[in-house]
Amino acid sequence: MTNTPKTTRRGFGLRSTAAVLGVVASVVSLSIVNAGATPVSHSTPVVQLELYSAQGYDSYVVNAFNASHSTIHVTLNDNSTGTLLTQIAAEQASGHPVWNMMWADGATWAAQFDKARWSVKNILPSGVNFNSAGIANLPFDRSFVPTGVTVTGGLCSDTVATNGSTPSTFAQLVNMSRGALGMNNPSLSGPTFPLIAGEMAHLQGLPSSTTANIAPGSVAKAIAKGKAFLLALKANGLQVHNTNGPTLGAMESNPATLQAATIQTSACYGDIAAGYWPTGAVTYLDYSVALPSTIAVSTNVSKAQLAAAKTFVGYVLSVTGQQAMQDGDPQGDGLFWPVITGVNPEAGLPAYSSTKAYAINPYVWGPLQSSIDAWFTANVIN
Amino acid sequence: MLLGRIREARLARVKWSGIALWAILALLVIIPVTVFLLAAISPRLLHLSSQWFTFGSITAAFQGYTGEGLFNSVWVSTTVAILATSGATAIAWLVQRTNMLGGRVIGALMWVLLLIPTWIMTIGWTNLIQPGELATALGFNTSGLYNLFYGPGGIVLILTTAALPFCYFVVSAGLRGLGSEFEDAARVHGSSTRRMLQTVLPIIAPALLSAFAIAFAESISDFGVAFTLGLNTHFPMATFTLFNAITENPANFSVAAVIAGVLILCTVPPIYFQSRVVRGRSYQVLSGRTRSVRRYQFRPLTRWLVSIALFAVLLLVILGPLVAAIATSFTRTISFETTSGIHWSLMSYQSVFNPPPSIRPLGGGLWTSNQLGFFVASGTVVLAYVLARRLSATTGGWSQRLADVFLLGSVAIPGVVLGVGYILFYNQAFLANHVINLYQTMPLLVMGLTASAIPGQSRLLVGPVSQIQSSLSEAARVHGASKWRTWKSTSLPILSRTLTWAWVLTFTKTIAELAVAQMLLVPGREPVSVLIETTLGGVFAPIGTAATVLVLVEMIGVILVCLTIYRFFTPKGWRRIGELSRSE
Repeated sequence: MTNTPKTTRRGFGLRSTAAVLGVVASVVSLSIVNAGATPVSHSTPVVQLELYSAQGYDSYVVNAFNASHSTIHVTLNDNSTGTLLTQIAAEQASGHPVWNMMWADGATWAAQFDKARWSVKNILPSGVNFNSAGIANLPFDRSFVPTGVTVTGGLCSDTVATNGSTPSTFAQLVNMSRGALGMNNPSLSGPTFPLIAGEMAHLQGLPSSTTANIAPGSVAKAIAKGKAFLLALKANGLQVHNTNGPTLGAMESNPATLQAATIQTSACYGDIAAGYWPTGAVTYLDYSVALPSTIAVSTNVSKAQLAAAKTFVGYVLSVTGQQAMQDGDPQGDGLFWPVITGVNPEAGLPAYSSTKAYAINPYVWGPLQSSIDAWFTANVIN
Repeated sequence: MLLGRIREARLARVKWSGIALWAILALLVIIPVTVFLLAAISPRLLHLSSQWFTFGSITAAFQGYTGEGLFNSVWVSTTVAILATSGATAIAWLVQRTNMLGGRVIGALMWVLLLIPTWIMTIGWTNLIQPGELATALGFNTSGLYNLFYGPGGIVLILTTAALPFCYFVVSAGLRGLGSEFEDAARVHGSSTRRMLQTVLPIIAPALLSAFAIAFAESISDFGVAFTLGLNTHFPMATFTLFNAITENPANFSVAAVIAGVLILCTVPPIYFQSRVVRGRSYQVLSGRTRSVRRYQFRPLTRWLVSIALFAVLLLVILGPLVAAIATSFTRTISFETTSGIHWSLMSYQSVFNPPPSIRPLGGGLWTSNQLGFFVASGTVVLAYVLARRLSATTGGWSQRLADVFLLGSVAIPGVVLGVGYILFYNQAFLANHVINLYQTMPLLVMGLTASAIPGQSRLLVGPVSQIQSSLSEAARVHGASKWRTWKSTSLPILSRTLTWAWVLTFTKTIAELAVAQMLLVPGREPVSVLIETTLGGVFAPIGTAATVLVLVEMIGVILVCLTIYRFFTPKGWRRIGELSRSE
């Protein structure tokens, strides 16, 4: 059987197409395979650092840092906090940790890293001028450092829905009209467990400190009081949404299905500043819970990398670094209170003292998160 | 001399292709997942605790909340599989075997449905029926419906709509290859419609069982819906409790491994049932000579009523949430209607192209995702076809049975498990330092995404592949054709449309995939799904929604390009095989 001219043309057509596809595939292959390669030659004395971060301003800060430090190159792994913690846990379990620095909201994860000996101590470089917010959130062994502070547990509300009348203490929250109050789910919302821990600790009268040793009996009493408080809120129709987004949406909608919520106030400020919520307002009750953003450094780094990591930490804790954090996400994570002297918070934020921020000990409360979250899921969620 | 010949003869008997295939599957799925599952009984192996061997995690996984999650997952997935398979069969029959109106549009709607990840669908439904959202703005009171939606009802609805197109395409492929002579024969012998269906449906049993098995496994491994709809109503699903165990601080990989193991084992009954039904029987009805079908003719009024009813349901299920999500992306507020009205704006779309400093531009992520999609889809289609051929062989040995169990079990593996398993294995100190360091490279990400796509695609191809008559290839071989030429001239023309669908489907699913991409991404080259997810979670959620809409548009563009290429570059005969003749 011989090919007809038509089938021959078809054959050539198919071959040509296959050849073109092959060339395209080869080109794309090369680019995709090379993507994992390190973009630094061995002759240049550049120290490579891999930063895992869940901060909105991280890429802006890293670019600014890399531009001003020719001998250090920071590569950014930007992901959600939960994913980053899972990646790190898997890396540690594999025996070959790749992460060099981790930067995220909260201190409980950093305290757990310290206890597991995943992070190195004394990472604070000299010459940092902490303000009171910074000092209050600094651990005794310097295994992590605060880089900024937001607060959770301020009262975000819609002024139309509340008619301008809001409670002034946490205790009064149980007297709001039924179903008017909301909060987030601690299993899904990072800032919510510190809020619950703070409520428990405050109800028991534990000192506001990140370092104070607390007797186990006091912690047990605090947990019992906190649970009773949350159940009272539930009895009054507390609405639990997954994260800040849905909670804010419920307050911003028409009709509003929530009047007010105790959440991370930077999220409320962000919505108001972005123009999403013209009738939104933030007020502070008798206390709120401090939520520092923290940075930790892996124990699996070379001496040069450790020095470079301290340089990065020093940069973040400088005036330039703090301002880069603000500029990097002005309507989101940049709405924090600086932890060093000489830098003002963004316009629209009140004085830090007005938040009456209350600090919890992450070494005490971190290990309790799983059991308290599980209790919340089983007893408070609708 | 003699020994040498014996050795040569033995080597000649070895099926190297089979060994190579299993080696690839081992590297892609089996070893990483096994390493993860080992954490269930030997946490010391992975530096998780001091115990070399324990059953403690197994006990913990079956208690309280996690135990409840496993139970809920099984019954929800079974319900979804039954609903999706029966619904898809009914729709496929209406489209392919009756004179209902708009059959081609239904096919297009199924594609739209298939493209939309469950997490986007969930967001869309929320944007539609949550008080204060689109339905409220249109004057509907949706409070009751909203409460119903957040629970088992909503989960079953979303998962069924997600599984429906899978089932539809599988059953359609089966029906398309089935000429109407079987129905005609039944009718000639005086069968009623019911009796006729009882005669015809068993012929497409491979397709129906494939559809059921895929729907079950896809549902039981889905995380997006369980995450968004199940939790706040105290209706835990296994994938969520697994996620909780993994993201606990410190991570509880041991309990997560037990849950993952149970999810995989849950797929054994459907596989076993499918194998029992299919094995030893022949369903080969598809050949180059399959004739056009004679369509059942509805009366004019019935024809209109059936068409309108089907379109109404599909439009509500597909376009309702999609329109709500798109409408929301054109406002500059988190909630659609606020106390100060609806604020229409293109701000979110402008921000996608000119993002604020905290959001990375969409273009880079989209290019990365398209590259990944190309490689993953190409690799997946080749491997999935080879596996489908093995699964559909009527004289399979242990290798076939093993492939059977392995493949459906793999469908049930949540992406996050695959991702963590990859880190646990490919980032082992010995491998990384002395063999090859693949972690956080694009090749490993391609491998992970391919591993997550292969099981589903293989299942999808089993139905069509099992229906090809072996006489076609036998005839070609008798006439002296090589294996390659035989395949090119017999199987390829018949399967070309199905393979094209499989490629496009894998491509689009890869772009939308999140769990594996998050775990294995290359820093600095994040896929678009990861960029969107990080945006959706923050204050810039409206920008994330707009970016999602743009990505969906890009996916539809790719599909149109691929189908156009198929239409213009394939011989006319390829496209006619199994196609229906509208003139009849």
